[in-house]
This record gives sequence, structure tokens and C-alpha cells, in this order.
Amino acid sequence: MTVQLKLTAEDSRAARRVVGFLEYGKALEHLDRLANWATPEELSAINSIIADREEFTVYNRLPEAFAPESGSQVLTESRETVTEHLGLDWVIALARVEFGAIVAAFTDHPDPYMFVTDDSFARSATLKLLLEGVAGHYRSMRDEANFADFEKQNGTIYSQLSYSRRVRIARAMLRPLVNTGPSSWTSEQARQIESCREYLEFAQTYLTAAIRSFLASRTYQGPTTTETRTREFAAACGRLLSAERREIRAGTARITRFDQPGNPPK
Amino acid sequence: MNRSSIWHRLLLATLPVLIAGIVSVHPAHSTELTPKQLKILEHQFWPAYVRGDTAGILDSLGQVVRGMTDDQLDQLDQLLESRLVSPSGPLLLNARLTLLRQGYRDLPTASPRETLMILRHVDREIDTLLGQIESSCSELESVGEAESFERYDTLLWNIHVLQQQLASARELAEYANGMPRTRNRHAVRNWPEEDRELLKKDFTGQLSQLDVADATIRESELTGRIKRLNAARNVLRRSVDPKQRFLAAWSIEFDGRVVLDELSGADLSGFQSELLSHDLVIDEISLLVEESEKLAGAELVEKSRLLFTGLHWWKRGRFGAGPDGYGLLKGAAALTSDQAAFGLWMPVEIGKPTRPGSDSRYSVPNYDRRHQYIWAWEYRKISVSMSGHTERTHESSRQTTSVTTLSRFY
Repeated sequence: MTVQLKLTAEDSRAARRVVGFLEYGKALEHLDRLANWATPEELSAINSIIADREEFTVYNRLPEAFAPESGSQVLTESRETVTEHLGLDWVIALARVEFGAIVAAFTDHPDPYMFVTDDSFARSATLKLLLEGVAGHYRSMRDEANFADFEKQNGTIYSQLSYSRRVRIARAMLRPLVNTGPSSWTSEQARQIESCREYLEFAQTYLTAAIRSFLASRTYQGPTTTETRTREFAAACGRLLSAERREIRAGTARITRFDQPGNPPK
Repeated sequence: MNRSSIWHRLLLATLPVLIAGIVSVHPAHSTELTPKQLKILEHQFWPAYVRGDTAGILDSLGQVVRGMTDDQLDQLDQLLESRLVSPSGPLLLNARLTLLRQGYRDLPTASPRETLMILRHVDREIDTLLGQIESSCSELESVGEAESFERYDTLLWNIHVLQQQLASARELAEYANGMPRTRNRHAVRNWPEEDRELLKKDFTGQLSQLDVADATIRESELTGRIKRLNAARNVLRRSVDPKQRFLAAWSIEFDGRVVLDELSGADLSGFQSELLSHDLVIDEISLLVEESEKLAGAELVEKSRLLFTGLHWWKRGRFGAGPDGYGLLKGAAALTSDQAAFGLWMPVEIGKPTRPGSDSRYSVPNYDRRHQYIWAWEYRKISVSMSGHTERTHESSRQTTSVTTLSRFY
């Protein structure tokens, strides 16, 4: 199986600057090949080697900053306890989640988690970390991002652009979870995943519309009023819209219309 | 009362006020940061720091430290520390070196105060490093072949770290030697003798010491790797434990390659150790590697390479920090240069990641999940625990120590 995603030079250009893109990509290149080649006895030895090195500990819980509210059951499996893991599957899972997020945020690739398939090594660990990740982004955005406020901030494209990048990451993470099918989740989790999907689609649609509006107003103002800094953001907006087009072409995104923009689905 | 006595009394009456005025504006006597300095920090330095704008950091911080007293510098460093930022001296020096590496040629001339801060830092760093090299090399030389692979790992890692620090120290010393020094005696006339001497210091002597240390480290590393190669061969001859054989196979693959590469291009007579200086050393090591590879089998050697190379890259992704965007980003040169995309700052001691929910002030790694932060790059609203220190808590004693951990890594 091809370990790394095929990225065009243009795709990988911006991502190269993010710490983790080269590193996790290289890690996956080696470790995926090893995982598919090693015998069960060797995998056991490998896990023992990793277990001796505590720096490879991976915790599966939402970081404190994204901790759920008391009593909330949203998208978490074991909210009360932090689970600690040391093994090749968790090492690979973390690398895949982080690498995929960078690809989602800084390239046009339509499906950054395409290798999270039923038969892939570390699938279970990867799904758990993806779940944790989606929950963190989802909860945080619901708390922080007031889309109605964005509308009032005329000309401040920075927030929209940043949040659209965040939504893109969260949607990419959500896709393998949705593709896994409802049988993998409890009915409550399946319901939450669906409402999260609806929310993120709304957010993406709304933000994309805001970005389009910004680009249109910029065109209307003409080049004389454009500053260098704004040009950079305009270019970033262009890349974002191009990513959206590629997603739609690839069938990994769909166009959703909401009756009342500004009101995310509950 | 005659006119001269009136002037005399007036002068006496106003003298304390005049002196107080002089004292309050003369930096040699100030202890608090002035409103102007605080304003520059708030409006120029912090925004530049948050943006990862190295030129802005240098410009604003250079202005702030100009004319500062040591007490004010302490205040400044405390303020920086409270916001989890490195002290001003290393910050200024790193900014200058980063810009030079990026090809900037017209850096602002450092004020005498900034020059002194940089020279102090360089002087201290080199002295500390030379001491560390001596103790680490003697520790590695004292281990026997029967030592565990884990122990070898630790000792060779320490040597690796010192090699990187040595390269950085050489860069610092060369930069310090090339720094324009003030010829304005008036500007430094109130400085302590020690500081004025440091301002004139030539670092050539320390560069020579670093050369000697470099040769010592290199030799120490090679002898350590040869010992581990012997230990690995013994394991492959006698042990059927898959874990030990995996570790031994990796030593054969990695140590064998490093030692043979180094020795093939070296003047053997230059080594102090008999283990390295005799004529047949390369043949002996080649035979050792060949025999061990047969014992391990090509497949196990390749699998061990995949494992340890993969884990090495993983650690860089998990714990590495770039120079920009609070460590989340590499320099702009990484967009086009493979070499620039490779360099990262790595902690010297990594240790166990911080448990989520822990109340530790510093988190290891700095980002538990990078994906929770990278999206905010353009918005620049990143706020995390990022500093040149890592906090370690010892479970047994509940004591907390702070250690300097960031070091150049290749």
C-alpha cells in the first residue's frame, strides 16, 4: 500500500513549512511498511521496544483546553479517564492524524485520510484519535466561533480564513468516522457524529460565502486599494476555494444550502 | 547676602533635585523599566514575537535594551520569563543569527549594551559546554561492552547532543569575534571593569578549545559505537530473544555505517585511542559488521532500520520546534530548500509527555496535538506554553526542576 499521499509540488509547498509535515510523513513511510511486513512475533518485540521508551506515550483524551463540559457526553468514549498507550499502532495513529491534518489545512488534497481503511494497520487507534480530534475542534468552534459576529466584522477576512481552515481539518477528520458506518458507534455517538457533520458543513458553507464576498469586494475596490498583506490573504482565499472545488469534484464534499445563514444546525 | 552666596545657596538647594533628575534618567542607576521601554515591549516587541517576525524582534528588543542597567535587564528577563519567553540575551543573539542564516546582510548595529549581553551569553555557553563535554566523554569511555543497548542509547544520544551544541557554540564564537565593538569609551565609562574587558574579548582561544573538544567527542563517539557493535555481535551469536535481536540488528546497521564512514575518510594516526589508531581497524570493523549481518539476516536488519528510522522521524514531528509561529512553523526558506525544511529545535531530554489535565506549567511536547493549533497560523492567535525550558516533576519527591532543553538538531 502506498504510505504517503500523492501530493503535487504546489500542494506540498505551503505544508512544507509546518513542523510535522516532513517528519510525520517520513515516519509513516517507514513505520507503515514495517507494520505490513513484520511477523506477529516481531510486532510483539517492536511493541516491547516502544514500551521501554516513555517518550512514545500517546494519551487518548481531549486536551484540557478542549475538555467537555461536566455532564456532557458529546463525542467522547471515556471522558472520565485518560487512557495511556505505548505501541506501534498508537505511534502510527498519531502520525497519521497529525499528517492528515496538515494536508487538510495546507493543501488541496481532497481526502487526507484516505488510508484509514478497514484493513489498515492501527485503524482502531486512528479512529479513536480522529474522534478525539473532531470532538475538540467541534466543541471549541461551538464555544468560540460566533458566525453571526463574523458577519459584522466587515473586511476582516482573517478570522473567516482561519476558521475555514479549521473547519476543513475537522471535516477531513470526520470523513473516516462517517465512512466507518453507524454500526461502529453507539446510537448516541452516531447521532452526535451526524450533528457534528451538519454543523461543520454549515460552517464551511458560511465561511466560503464570506470569503467569496471578500474577494468580490476586493475586485470591486480595484488594485489601487490593495495592500501587500491583503494580497497574501486573497491568494490564500483563492487556494481555499480551489480546494473546495477539488473536494466537490472528488465527491468528498457536497453543496449544502441552509435557509437561514448565520444559524448553525443545533 | 552677596550675589555669589545667593547662587551658592540656590545651587545647594537645587543640587539634590538635579542629581535625582540625573539618576532617574541615567540608566546606570535605574532599576525599573521605563514607560518608554514598556511601551516598545507592548506595542512592538510582543506583536513581532507573536508573529514570528525575527527582524521585528531584533529591532524592538534592541531598542529596549539600549542603555539598560543590569537591574533593568533582570526586570526585563523576569517579564519575558513570566510570558514563557527566553531571556533577552539569547533572544537577541538568536534573532541575529537567524537573520544572517536567511541571508540578511544589513542588520542594525548592536548597541554597546546589546553587544555586552550577547558576549556574556556566548562566553557562558562555551564555558558550560566545555565542562559538559569532558564529563560525558569520560562516562562513555568507562562503560563496558556488556552494557545494555538502552544505556548505550542514552550515552550516545548525549554525545550527539553535545556535537550539535558544539557546532552552535562555534557559530556563536565566530559571530562574537566578528561583532563590531564600540570604540566610544565615553559610552561605557561607568561600566564595571569586568564588563569593559568582556567587550574587548577575543574568542579565538575558545575556538581552539572547541576544536580540541570536537576531536575528543568524535573519538569518544567512535569508540562507544565500536563497543556497542561488539555487544550486538555477542547478542546475535547467543540470544534468540526477538527484542534483543532487533536492537542488535539496528546497532549493526547504524553503528556499522557510521563507524566505517568516519574511519574511511579519517587520518587514523590522529586518534589518541589505540582502538582506533591501528592500521587494521577498518578491516576488523568490516569483518565484525559482515559477520553480524549474516547472524541477523538481511530482513531483520532492514526491519530494524525501518523501525528506528521511523521512530526517529516521529520524535522529530512530535517534539520538534521550528523558529517561527511559536515553534509550529519552520522558516520561510523551508518552502523552497530541503536543508531549511530539515533543521528543527529538539529538546535535549524528552521524557514522558505531559498527561492531559496535568497542572504543569510547561507541557511536553509543546503541542499535544498540532492539529488543534496549526489552523490559526494566519490569524496568529496562538497561545501555548512554549519556552526554552521543560519542567520535570519527579514522582517520588514531587520536586520540580527546570532544565534548559532546546538545542540545535540535525
